[in-house]
Amino acid sequence: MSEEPRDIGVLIIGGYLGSGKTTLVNHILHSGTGRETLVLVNDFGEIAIDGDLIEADSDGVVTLVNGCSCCALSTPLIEFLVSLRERATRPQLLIIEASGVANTALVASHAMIPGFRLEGVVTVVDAETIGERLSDDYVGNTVQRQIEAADVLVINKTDLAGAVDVERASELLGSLAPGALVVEAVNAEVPIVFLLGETLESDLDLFEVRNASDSGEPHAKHETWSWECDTVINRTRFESVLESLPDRVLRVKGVVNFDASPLHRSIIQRVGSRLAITQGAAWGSDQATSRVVLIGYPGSINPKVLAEAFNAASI
Amino acid sequence: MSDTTIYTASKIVTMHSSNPVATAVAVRDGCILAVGSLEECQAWGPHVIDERYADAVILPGFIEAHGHIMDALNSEQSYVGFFDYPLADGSTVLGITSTAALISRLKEIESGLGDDEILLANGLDPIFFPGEPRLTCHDLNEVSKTRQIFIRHASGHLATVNSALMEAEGITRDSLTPGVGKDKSGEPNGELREPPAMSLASRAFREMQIRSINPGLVRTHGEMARNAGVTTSTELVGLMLLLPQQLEAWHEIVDAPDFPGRMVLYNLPSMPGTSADYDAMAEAFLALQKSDTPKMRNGGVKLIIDGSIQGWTAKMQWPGYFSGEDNAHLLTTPEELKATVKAFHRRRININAHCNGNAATEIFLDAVEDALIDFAWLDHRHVVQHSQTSTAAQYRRMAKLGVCANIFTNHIWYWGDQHSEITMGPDRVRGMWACRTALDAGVPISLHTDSGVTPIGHLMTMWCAVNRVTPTGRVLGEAERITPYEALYAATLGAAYQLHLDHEIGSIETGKRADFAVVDASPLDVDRLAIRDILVFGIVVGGEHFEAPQNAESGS
Repeated sequence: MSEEPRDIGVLIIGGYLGSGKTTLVNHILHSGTGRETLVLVNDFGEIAIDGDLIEADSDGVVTLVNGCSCCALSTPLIEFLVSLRERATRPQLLIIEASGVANTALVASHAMIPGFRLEGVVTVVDAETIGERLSDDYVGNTVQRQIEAADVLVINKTDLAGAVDVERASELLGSLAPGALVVEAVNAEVPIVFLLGETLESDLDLFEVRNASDSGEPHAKHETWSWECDTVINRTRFESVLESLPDRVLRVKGVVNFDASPLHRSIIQRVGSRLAITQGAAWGSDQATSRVVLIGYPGSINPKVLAEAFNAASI
Repeated sequence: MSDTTIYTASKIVTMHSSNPVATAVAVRDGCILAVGSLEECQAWGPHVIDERYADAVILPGFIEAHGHIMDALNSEQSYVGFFDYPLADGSTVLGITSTAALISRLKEIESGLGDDEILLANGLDPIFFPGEPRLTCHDLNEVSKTRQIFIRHASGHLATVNSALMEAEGITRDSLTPGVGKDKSGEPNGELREPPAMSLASRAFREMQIRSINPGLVRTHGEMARNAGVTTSTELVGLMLLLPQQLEAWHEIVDAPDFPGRMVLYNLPSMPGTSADYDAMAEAFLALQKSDTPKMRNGGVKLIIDGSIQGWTAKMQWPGYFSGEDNAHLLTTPEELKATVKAFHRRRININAHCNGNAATEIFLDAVEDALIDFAWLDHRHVVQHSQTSTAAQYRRMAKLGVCANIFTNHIWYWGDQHSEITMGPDRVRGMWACRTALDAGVPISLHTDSGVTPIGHLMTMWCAVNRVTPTGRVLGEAERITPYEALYAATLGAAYQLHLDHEIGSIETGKRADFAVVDASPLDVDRLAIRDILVFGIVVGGEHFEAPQNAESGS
């Protein structure tokens, strides 16, 4: 099994023109993802990469020092994907910036062919204009489909919109995509690990670096908290801790050493109230350290209470 | 001094208003020296007289201002569409009108294939089989249980495959890719909807892809155009901006003396449904034009704004479709379209916009209006392509804005009954392909075939615009009929105008290139219902003669 090449994870980023989709792509390119990542951009003209981040620029592919590279499409997407999976060196993650009018569900179905694994669909909306867009004669149905297709909805530009607008947007999105995670953001600054469907240890590393560099930010839109433990965790108790988390905790990711399956990593993935626990790689000779990270709105995270609850789940 | 050749004809229809009819044309250096009587032409000095067309009628070569070289695929792989399709060698494949006919055609093709070949066929259109159950793998298994069979539907969005293919490619009840059709018991039924599912048939998919980007198709397309009397054709999905490495191969084929015609490319500045840095693309386009030759040019850019009416993906204004589910969405945003149009317009690059639905027409006209306010290039001749449902008000706007319409009149015959019964409704269909309204409003028009979607050939598009008759005998909108003269003008000079080449081609006029269609009768003289039956003997391109193959047997 181990020599079988891993499927390429795919993250789709959609959203109508002006919603901040490209800002989010820029944010990802600058932050890196902790994995070898290829970003398929819509329009190079709008991509702003700091010169000192660029390692190479040839044949229409810009390679960055942080492991990301980006290029634009010059063939139909399906043909690009079929040729990508046949390459000798393939990225671990492919991020597709969909166009402003893309039917993101159709784009997402491209990631459900052999060799790829859909990690999620992110749709960015502009807090101020979303109501207007949805009732537009020309593009209303397109914007609605983009929202319905999303796993994660980013309500962007909340600093420019009034509180009423943000609340209204939130209600609209809740009714159109009841299963999706809704995150508010300024300048599309959403911690990247929380957009990705898969939980990798490298994600968690990356997240912690970000977390450290963000600390002290005065008006952060999100709070994060992480927890580490070297002893075995009781799965039942751990699950009930997750169930008891406040609603405003948006996302939980983790790699955990459970008593029920001590030989393998257990991968934790919670979006909103949907929890998925899957089996990861064997611990082997690695130190079996459990790690969990959370993101939530300001005020949702009480480090003392959380630490007590999670510590109580360890044996 | 160069040689002069005078061609005589029973009639020369010039489409030059000062000199509408002649019996002789003098050609020197590939250009028209004189047009008139034999004596008038002889007066220009030493010459030889060539009487090969003495009994024929000479028209200006037809100009296809919206073609695609993919029609050549019908010559190079098996065509299984509903309507007869004329091929490059002069033969005609007969249309497939039932599932039983499809199976027997496929069996015939199958028996001629080598052991390891797969069976690829193209052009099936289920909209014409309303009473029949959908085609499944079980039908195709009757053709072969061992050879892979892949039938691509006319829309390009769907394929039907057999069980041998699914077995070889691992398509099973467990396949998770959206678009894999399954029967009630959960087994795959052979339908693969949309490209992701179609790509699961990896060998067929790869082979189709290789065949469709082969520049050699342009050669076959040229021959199909020649057979129809077309001297200048176009590729409206030009890839020279996206795949500039194709440029050389195209030039090599088209510039060769034996290539029977001229080609003009309208290039995509981005893959449809994605965007690009359009200012950079516009600069790249200007650089590309430096490679232009008299036989192959880059005419402008193509923008695709919506889908098709028979696929319910064209963007219609209220009240939308007559029946069926509206799956329309725009492939660009109105805001982005404005920025895109500006980037090309301000560099004086001609823009052709695919607008099947009237909502698409509307946002394109909005964008052109904005660009004109920004930059006063009045002679832009931007084109609303297809313009199948543009409204009377939109034609009035086009006239004011200097926008042309290239109207897809072949739909009247090919899908007119379906538009009446299914997509647009029996009343509204009368106002589709509104040639009369366009001309009365003062909009320069052309007529096209979208070659590959329907067979190249203006005698048919003209016939449709003049008669507006469907296969079931309906007349769709008598009030929108135009005259044979107006139709011929649209198919020659009208198209040349849209290509910004009316000073060079499109009429038989002194100083222009010697590009002619040689036919057995003038469309202005025959019964209107007989226009499509006029026989094409061949074409002349820059004074070079290219005969169309005659009397080829029909068959597959």
